[in-house]
Amino acid sequence: MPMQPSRSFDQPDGFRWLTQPADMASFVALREFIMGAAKAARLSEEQLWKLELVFEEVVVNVIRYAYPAEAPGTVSAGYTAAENHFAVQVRDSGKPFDPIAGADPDLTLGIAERRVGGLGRFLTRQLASRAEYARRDGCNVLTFAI
Amino acid sequence: MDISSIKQERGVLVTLVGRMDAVTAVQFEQACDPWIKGGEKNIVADFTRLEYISSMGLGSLLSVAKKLQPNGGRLAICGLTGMVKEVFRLSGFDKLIPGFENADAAFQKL
Repeated sequence: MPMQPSRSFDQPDGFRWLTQPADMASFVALREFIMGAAKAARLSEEQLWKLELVFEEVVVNVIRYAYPAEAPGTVSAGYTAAENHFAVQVRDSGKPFDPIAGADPDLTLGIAERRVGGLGRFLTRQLASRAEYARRDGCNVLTFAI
Repeated sequence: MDISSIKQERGVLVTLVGRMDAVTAVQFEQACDPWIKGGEKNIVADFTRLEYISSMGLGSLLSVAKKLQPNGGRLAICGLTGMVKEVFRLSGFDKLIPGFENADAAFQKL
């Protein structure tokens, strides 16, 4: 049985897109764009909350860290839906940053030692069925599936 | 997210209704900070009607727990259900912040 060609996973053919300024005011519009499509695609309740959580982690990261305050930019969110499969891609042209790389937080630490950061990345890796990062044409390209 | 807080005999009960996400998570710290500054040690957050939490929400909980600790206080949660319960388990927060069935049980153990 031949393997599915993996290179198609993060190619944008067939994705539908919304581009917004990378600020918190745009976050709700981007979330509604993606979640509306996911509900229309009849994802399960469990798939919906996993999608929503991973999408929030990825987009808020871009909004907070991709661009310097004096040079704001945009963030684009795209999706493709097929039966029992929903893939999302988030793109920005900010500084190179891989949001899924890095060590897991130490879940055994106590309240005083535990860091507030790093959990979003950890949950993204836990909840997405697949997640890939690429730097392409001056853009950060993060693709994930639920 | 709707949030309310009320002083009880053994601490402060904070009730959250709705979604604790990147937009709303800061409300939890804003609700707790005046109580902490006023010398309250123990806070119980009632999550019975909380539908959604992201890592930003978890961060807000951890910040409050860190502020309470130096004064010998604690943050506890009650009413964990659904995805909130699952995110707590995945992130190890079920080991970090004690969880109880209801507010009475939480206040008795704090």
